[in-house]
Amino acid sequence: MESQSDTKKSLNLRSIGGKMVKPLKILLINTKSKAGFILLVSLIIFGILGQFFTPYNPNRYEFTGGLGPSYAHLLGTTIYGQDVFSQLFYGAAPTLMVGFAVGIIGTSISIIVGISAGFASERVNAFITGLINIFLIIPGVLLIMLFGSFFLGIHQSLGYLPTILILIITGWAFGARTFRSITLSIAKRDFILSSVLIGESRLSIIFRQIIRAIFPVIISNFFFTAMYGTMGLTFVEYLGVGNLLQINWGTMLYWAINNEAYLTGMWWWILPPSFMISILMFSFILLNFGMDEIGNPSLRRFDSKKSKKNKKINDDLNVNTEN
Amino acid sequence: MMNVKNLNAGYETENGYVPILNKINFSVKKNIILGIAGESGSGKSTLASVLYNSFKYPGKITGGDILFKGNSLFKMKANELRQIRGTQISFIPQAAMNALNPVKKIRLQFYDVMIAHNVHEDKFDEKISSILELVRLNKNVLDSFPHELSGGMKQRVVIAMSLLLSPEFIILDEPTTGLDVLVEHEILADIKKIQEKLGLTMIFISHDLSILFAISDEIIMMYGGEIVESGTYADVLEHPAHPYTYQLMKSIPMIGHKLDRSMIIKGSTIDFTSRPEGCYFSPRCNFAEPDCTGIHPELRAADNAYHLQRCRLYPSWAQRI
Amino acid sequence: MSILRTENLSKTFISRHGLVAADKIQALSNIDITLENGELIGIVGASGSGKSTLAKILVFLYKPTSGNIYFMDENITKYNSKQIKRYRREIQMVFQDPYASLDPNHSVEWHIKRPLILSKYKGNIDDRINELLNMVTLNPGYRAKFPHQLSGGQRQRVYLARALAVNPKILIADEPVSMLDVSVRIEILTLLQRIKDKLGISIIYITHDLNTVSMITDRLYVMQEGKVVEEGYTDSIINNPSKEYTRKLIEAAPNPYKRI
Ligand SMILES: Nc1ncnc2c1ncn2[C@@H]1O[C@H](COP(=O)(O)OP(=O)(O)O)[C@@H](O)[C@H]1O
Ligand SMILES: Nc1ncnc2c1ncn2[C@@H]1O[C@H](COP(=O)(O)OP(=O)(O)O)[C@@H](O)[C@H]1O
Ligand code: SF4
Ligand SMILES: [Mg+2]
Ligand SMILES: [Mg+2]
Repeated sequence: MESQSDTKKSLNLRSIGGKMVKPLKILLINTKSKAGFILLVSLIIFGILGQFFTPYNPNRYEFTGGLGPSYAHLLGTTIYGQDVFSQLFYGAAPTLMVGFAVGIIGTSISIIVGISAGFASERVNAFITGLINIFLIIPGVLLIMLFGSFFLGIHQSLGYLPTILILIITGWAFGARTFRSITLSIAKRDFILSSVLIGESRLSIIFRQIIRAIFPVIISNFFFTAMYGTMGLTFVEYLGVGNLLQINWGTMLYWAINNEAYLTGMWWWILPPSFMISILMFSFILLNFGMDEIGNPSLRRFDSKKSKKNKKINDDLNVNTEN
Repeated sequence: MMNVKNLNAGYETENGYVPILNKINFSVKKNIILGIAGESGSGKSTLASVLYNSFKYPGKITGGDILFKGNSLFKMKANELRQIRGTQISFIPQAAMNALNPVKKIRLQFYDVMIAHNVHEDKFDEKISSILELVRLNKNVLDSFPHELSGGMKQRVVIAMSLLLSPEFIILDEPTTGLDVLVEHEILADIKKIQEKLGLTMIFISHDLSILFAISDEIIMMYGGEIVESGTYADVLEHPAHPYTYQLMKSIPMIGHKLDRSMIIKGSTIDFTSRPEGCYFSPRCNFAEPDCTGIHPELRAADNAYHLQRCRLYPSWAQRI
Repeated sequence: MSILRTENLSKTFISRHGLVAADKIQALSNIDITLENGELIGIVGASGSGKSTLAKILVFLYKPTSGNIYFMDENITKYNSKQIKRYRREIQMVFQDPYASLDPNHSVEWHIKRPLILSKYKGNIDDRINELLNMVTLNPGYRAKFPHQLSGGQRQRVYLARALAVNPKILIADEPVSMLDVSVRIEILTLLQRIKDKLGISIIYITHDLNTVSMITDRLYVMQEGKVVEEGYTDSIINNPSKEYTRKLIEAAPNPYKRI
C-alpha cells in the first residue's frame, strides 16, 4: 500500500479533460506545439515532393566531385560526384519515415507495457518495472552495436526494417517508465476508484478512461520517441551498422564526415543534412514541449482557470519572498 | 485604514472582457475584522487580490481606486508597493497552505521572507520564535517540509508568515476552508486573539456565514460581484435587510434545526457572462416581484445610516416573512 | 437483522521510506458498528480519525488487517474477487471531493449509463437516466454536460445518480458536503434523506461536522484516532455528550450566534 501523500502528488490531469479535443486540434491549442506542427508539416511536404521531383538522380555518381554550390547544383556535389540537393530532397522521406515508425511503434509498446505495469498487481508491476530498468540502464550504443552486427548480414533485402527495429528496441523503455508512473498515480484517483466500485473491468478502465486521461502525454511521448528515432538513425548510420547505400540524412552525414568534409571546406555537403536534421529535431521538441504543457498543468501558463489561480497564489506568496 | 471607491474589475477571456466586480464601495476601520461573505463565484477572491493590488492578467481593473491610509494603491510605484506589502499589508490567498514551497523546509521559507525585507540576521530567531508562540506552533515545524504537516499546521505556518514583518492590515481569503471543524475553531479563535492582541485590522473572507458572524465586527454580503448588504455584524445578523442574506442564513445547517427543503436557495449562483436583468438576485429570490427584473437597485440605508442594503422591496419583503 | 455489521475491524498502514525504514499507522482499531436496514447513521470524527479508511474497507477498496465484516449476517471478509464484484452491486460509496470523483473526459450521461449497462439494466436505459437525474433534482438537460461545466453541488448530485444506478442497498457517503459551499449542503442532505425514505437505501453518513449530522441521522458513532469513543442516539449524544472529545466537536460546530 502506498502512502497517502503519493496520491496527492499525482499528476493533475483533471483540467485537460472536459472537452475531449480532437488530436489535431490539441496540437494547435499551444503556441509551441503549433509552431512545431507547422515546421513538421512543411518537412513532410518536402519529403513527399522529394520522392518525385529531384533535379538529378540522387544515386548517380555522374558529376565532377566536390563542386561548390552553383545554379546547376544548388548545394554543390559530393566528393563522389552526387548532387547534394537531390540527395537531401530524396533522403527526407526515409528519414521522416524512420522517425515516425519508431515513434508510432515505440510509443505503442511503451503504452502497453507502461499501462499494464501501472494497473496490474504489485508483482506484475515489479517485474515489468525491473524489465524497463534493465533496458534503461544498458547503454543504447551497446544494443545498437549488438543488434546492428546481428542484422548486418541480412540488411540488404530488409531495407530500413532492421534499423527501425534496433531503434524501437533501444527506445521504448523511457516512455514505458513515464506511462507506468502516470498510470500508477491516476489509478488512485477517485474517478478510477469509482469505476472499480461500479464494476468496470480493468480493460474497460484502461481504454475508456486512462488512455483518454493521458492522451496528451501519449502524443508528447510519440514526438519524443520520433525524435529519438531520427537521431538514432543518424547514429546507427554513423556507427556504420546501418545500410550505407540507402540515401537519408543520416547516411549523408556519415559520408560527409567520413570524407572529412569539414576539413576540406566542403560545407555544402555537411551543413545541409545537419541543418535539416536540426530543423526536424526542433519541430519534434516543440511538439513535445507543447504537449507536456497541455498534459501537465503546472507547466501551463494561461490555459486553464485552475492553473491560473495556483500561479496567482504562488505569485502572491512570493511577493513576500522575492522582494 | 482602507477606502475602496467605485471599484470595477473583471477578466479578459476568449470571448472578451467579463466584468465581475461592480462599483464596490466600502471602507475598513482600524482595529476591526471586516467579514466578506458570499457563495463561491460571487467574486470574493477577485476582490481580495484587487485589494492587495496583486490582480494580474487576465484580470483587469477598469475603474475606481483604493486608498490605503490615504494613499492610492493604484498610483503607487512598484517599489513603494513592494515596501508596504508584508510590512503594512499582507495577504493570505485562498488555499495558500497548498502553495507552500514543497521542497523547502519551513525555516528557510521564513528566512526568505525576512531576507527579502532586509531584516537583520541577528533578529531572525527572536522574531520567528515570538511569531510561532503567537500562532501556537511548536518549534519542530521549522525543520519540517510542508507535506509533513497537517492541514491545520500548514495554515498556521501561512498565518505566521503573513505576520513575520508585523503588518497592521491582513487580508485572509477563506483561511479555514478545507479544515475540519475542530481545527477551524481553534484557528479562528487564535486569529481573533492575535487580532485583538496586536491591534490588527483584518479583512476575513469566507463562504461560511456562521464563522463570519462569529468572528467579524462588520459584515459585507456579496452577490454577483457587488455588495448587496453591509453593516455591523449585529445589525446584519439580527435584521438581515436583503433577501440574499436572509436566505443564506436560513440555509446554514445547524444543530437543533429541522431539515427542510425550504432552506434551499433555488437556482445557482450567477453566470457573469449573462447577468439577469434588474436585480441580479431576482431569479433566486423568494420575495421577487415582477418589477424586480426591471431596474437595477442601488445600495441604500436600511434601519440605520450605517446598515446598507440593495433590495428595492426593503422593508416590505421583511414584513412578509 | 442488521444489513451491515463490523466486528473488531482494524487496519494498520505500513508506509515505507526507503528500503528498510517503515512507519506503522494504526488507522482503525477494533471498530464495531452496525447499520440496520433502512437506517441513516452518522460517523463523526476529526480528520485523521480513520473515517475514510473505514469507508474504503466497507467497499473493499482496502483490506482490513483483522476483524470481520458481515453483510446481511454473512461474513464477507474473505470474499474472493468474484464475490466482491457481486457484493459491490449492493454497496456504493460517495467520495468527498466532487472535483475528483467524476471523470473529466466523460459526460454526465456516460457516468450514469455505465453502471446501468454493467448491472444489465432490463428497462429502457435512456428513460432510466432521466429518472435518476430527476431523483437527484437535475433536469435531463444535464445529460450532455461535462464535469467542468458543473458546480460542486451539481457534481455531487451527478455522483449520487451514478451510485444509485447500480441499485445498491447501502450507500456510504464520505464527507459528501465538506467541499461544498455551506449554502448548498442542505440540498445534498435532503437528497440523502430522500434516498433513504423513497428508495429504502441504508446510509452511512460520514462527516466532521455535527451541524449536518445532527439534522439527518438517528444514530451516531463518534470516532477518535481510529476508535469509536461514543455511540448512541444522535439527540442524546448532542444533548448529553459523555466524552470531552464529543463535547469539543459540538462546541466547534459553526454557529453564527456564538461569538468567538
Ligand atoms: N482567471 C480567471 N479568468 C476568468 N474568469 C475568472 C478567473 N478567475 C475567476 N474568474 C471568474 O470570476 C468569478 C468570481 O470568482 P472568484 O472571485 O474566485 O469568486 P469567489 O472567491 O467568491 O468564489 C467566477 O465566475 C470565476 O469563474
Ligand atoms: N493509504 C494510506 N497509507 C498510509 N496511511 C494512510 C492511508 N490512508 C489513510 N492513512 C492514515 O490513516 C489515518 C486515518 O486516515 P483517514 O481514514 O483518511 O481519516 P479521516 O477520513 O477520518 O480524515 C491517518 O493518520 C492517515 O494518515
Ligand atoms: S430587489 Fe426584488 S429580487 Fe432583488 S432582492 Fe429585492 S425582492 Fe428580491
Ligand atoms: Mg474564492
Ligand atoms: Mg476522510
